[in-house]
Amino acid sequence: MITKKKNITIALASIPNTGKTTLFNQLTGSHQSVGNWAGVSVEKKVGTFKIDEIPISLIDLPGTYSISATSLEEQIVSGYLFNSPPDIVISVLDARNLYRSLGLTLQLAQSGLPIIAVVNMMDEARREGLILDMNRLSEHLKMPVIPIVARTGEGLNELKQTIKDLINEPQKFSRPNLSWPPVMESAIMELARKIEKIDIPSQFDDVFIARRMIESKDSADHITKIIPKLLDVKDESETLRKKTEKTLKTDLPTACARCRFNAARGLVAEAASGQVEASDKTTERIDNILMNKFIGLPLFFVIMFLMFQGIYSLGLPIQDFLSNLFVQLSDYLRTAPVFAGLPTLFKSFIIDGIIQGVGIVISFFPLIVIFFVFMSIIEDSGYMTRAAFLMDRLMHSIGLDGKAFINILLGYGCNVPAIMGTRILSSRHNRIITMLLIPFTLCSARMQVFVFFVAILFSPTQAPLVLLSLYLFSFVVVIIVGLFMKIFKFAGKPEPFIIEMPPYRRPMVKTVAIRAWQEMKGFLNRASTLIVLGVVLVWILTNLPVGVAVGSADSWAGIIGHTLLPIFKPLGIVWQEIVALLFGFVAKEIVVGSLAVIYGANPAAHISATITPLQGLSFMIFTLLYTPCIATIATIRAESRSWKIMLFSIVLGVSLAWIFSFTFYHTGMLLGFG
Amino acid sequence: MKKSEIIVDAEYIIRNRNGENKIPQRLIQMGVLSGSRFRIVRIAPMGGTVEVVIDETGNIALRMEELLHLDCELVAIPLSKINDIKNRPFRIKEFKGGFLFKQKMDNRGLAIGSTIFEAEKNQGFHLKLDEDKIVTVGRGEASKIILKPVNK
Repeated sequence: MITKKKNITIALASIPNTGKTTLFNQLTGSHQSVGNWAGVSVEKKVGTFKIDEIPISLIDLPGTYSISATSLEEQIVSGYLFNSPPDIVISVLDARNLYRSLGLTLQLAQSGLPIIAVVNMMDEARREGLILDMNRLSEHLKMPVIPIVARTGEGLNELKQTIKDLINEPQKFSRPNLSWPPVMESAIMELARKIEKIDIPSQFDDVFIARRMIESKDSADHITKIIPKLLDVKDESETLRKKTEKTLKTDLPTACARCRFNAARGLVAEAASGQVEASDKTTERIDNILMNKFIGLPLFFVIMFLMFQGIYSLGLPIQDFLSNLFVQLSDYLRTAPVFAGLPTLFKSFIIDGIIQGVGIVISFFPLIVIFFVFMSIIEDSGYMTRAAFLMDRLMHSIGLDGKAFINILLGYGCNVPAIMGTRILSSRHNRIITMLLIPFTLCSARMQVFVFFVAILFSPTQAPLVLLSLYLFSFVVVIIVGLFMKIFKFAGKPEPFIIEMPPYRRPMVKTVAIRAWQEMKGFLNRASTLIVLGVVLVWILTNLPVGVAVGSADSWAGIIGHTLLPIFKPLGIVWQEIVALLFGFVAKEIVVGSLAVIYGANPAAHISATITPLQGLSFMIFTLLYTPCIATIATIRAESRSWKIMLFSIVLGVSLAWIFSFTFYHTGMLLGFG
Repeated sequence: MKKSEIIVDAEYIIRNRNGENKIPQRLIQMGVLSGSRFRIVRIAPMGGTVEVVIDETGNIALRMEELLHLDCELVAIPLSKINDIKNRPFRIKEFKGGFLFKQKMDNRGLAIGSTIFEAEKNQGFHLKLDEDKIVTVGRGEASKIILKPVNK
């Protein structure tokens, strides 16, 4: 029952692929904020909108098939409902396939929360000649049922009116009738009576709680964590479950699902007329080409190539342009009258520390926007799941699923958006592993360093071969590290790969734009502080103590370079290069520039005179594998929400860089290339 | 389900006879229960992953290892996917061709419901029908003839 109060909370719940996000975007527009669900790296979207001056916050729950608390997403949904029950739940259903969606709606309805069922994609259903009787559906579900087309906004006014009515005239919701096996029902009642006695602090009734507890061990564990008092009856719920399972000769999650879906089947038979094909004809035709046994993979690579080119041939020049703007701004400020009276060191701190940090953050904006425009198009159109299907075999061998391939591939352009894009992956396990692999992909910034060194140390005929080998090497390292993490089960057990292949749909401009905007804002909110701090730290190391030349042997960086020399000497890396690597921690783009600062004028001549090609290669291998840049590190921290994962990534990168450089350098020496 | 049974275009019914072979919980929560029918749509080019279409849920991709754990019963398979029929008769369930194709088959004595007792693949398919009649169909034709095993 809703009581009249100022701020109303509505939760959007649905199974995947029902257009829930489209509805969310239609209702809230750009009034959204993205955060994480407490303790996990699953996106939490909250939006606000108003109905006749009543402020409403809308919460987009992750798409799940049930609230059984087995998967991470289910735990989030179930945890949210129990911890902070919303005033209203909107359950989104797919008009083309009510049966599929009704399982969750019926499970939610057992809670007694006020629920509005929204039947989305009515246009597609109509096109296929499906007629749905909303009144009949509403009668059986005992909740308002609103037909809508979220894409066009059809039916949204009716939905808002229904919400308003529910707020203004609160009513008691009764639960839809479901028939459960009598043994199960009596076990639930028995447990409910026990729960009644312990008086728990929850707005949900004892029967619902008993139902959730008895269904599965996962569910019981989850709920007792939220309401510790229930621990008193946990043993009893275990006993009752086992007893019931023995009588029913089947496990309870299955038995419960069967009850729900039997009811769903009956409902569909009553409320829907007209036969809908399980698979969409247009989709079938497109899939016959895109997923073809012979041309499916080549087409996939063509699409990936176009996507890669689209993102980076557009994004990287803009990034460079913005970086140059900041360089010009810095140059201007160095001589600007405003700064004239300030001490040189302070001036340098502002220009080379703060402004450079801010410049790096801003220069990533266009890249992130373009990246997510392409990513959303691939995802919203439905091609992402196809790509996952095509590449699954390959990625499964390193413990990931097919989607991760796209993230890793896009890492070859720039690691930062690629890591942000891991959010599309289906499990935390896959997200973490992919996040740790992406830093080993040879991004365009590292490429600049390599082009510089290769041009100095190798002949024009050798140079392309060296660059190609570095690409191949990067790929090999990704596979080796992936296998390593699979064997040692670094991020726990992978989840089974069962994904729906939604019909192809035209991506909506609004959804794509909101996504790109949100991602950029998210990057600014979560990664920028760490980036600026990192740049300032490197500034301190290279500019202090007071009075030293930047990056010189007397600076802290130079001292570190000399101190670390024993570690780097076995790799053939000289102290100037160590300082350059320190600069490279900020961004690889500035490594070449930093060499000019460290060596003074004409670094190329210095390098060719003092470093052998073997030493140069060893340095490049180190550069390829160690921490890509502060922005990548900050993004890993922001996406994983874990300092531990971030630190692990740094340690993994640096130690692998050392091991590979060492092995390479010494093998080269033994073979007489020294 | 055995690996050899994962054949494109073949249709199955999921059985779950209180045995060890359980339907994965994920599928159950999606509404795929015993009695659900599915058809194998395609196998990924590199193998390992299979797309199926289930009446209840539409198209789903899953790994072969997941599918192997399901207890399934074959209900329809194109003739072209069968190497030989010896021990178990099949019945013609459906023709995938148009009117002309059906007529062509009818002329050879093949109609929906005809039982094929034995079949041999040797440059086309030689089918042994009732009354010891042998009919030969080409490979292309065989892919349009959908069979259903007859339970003894």
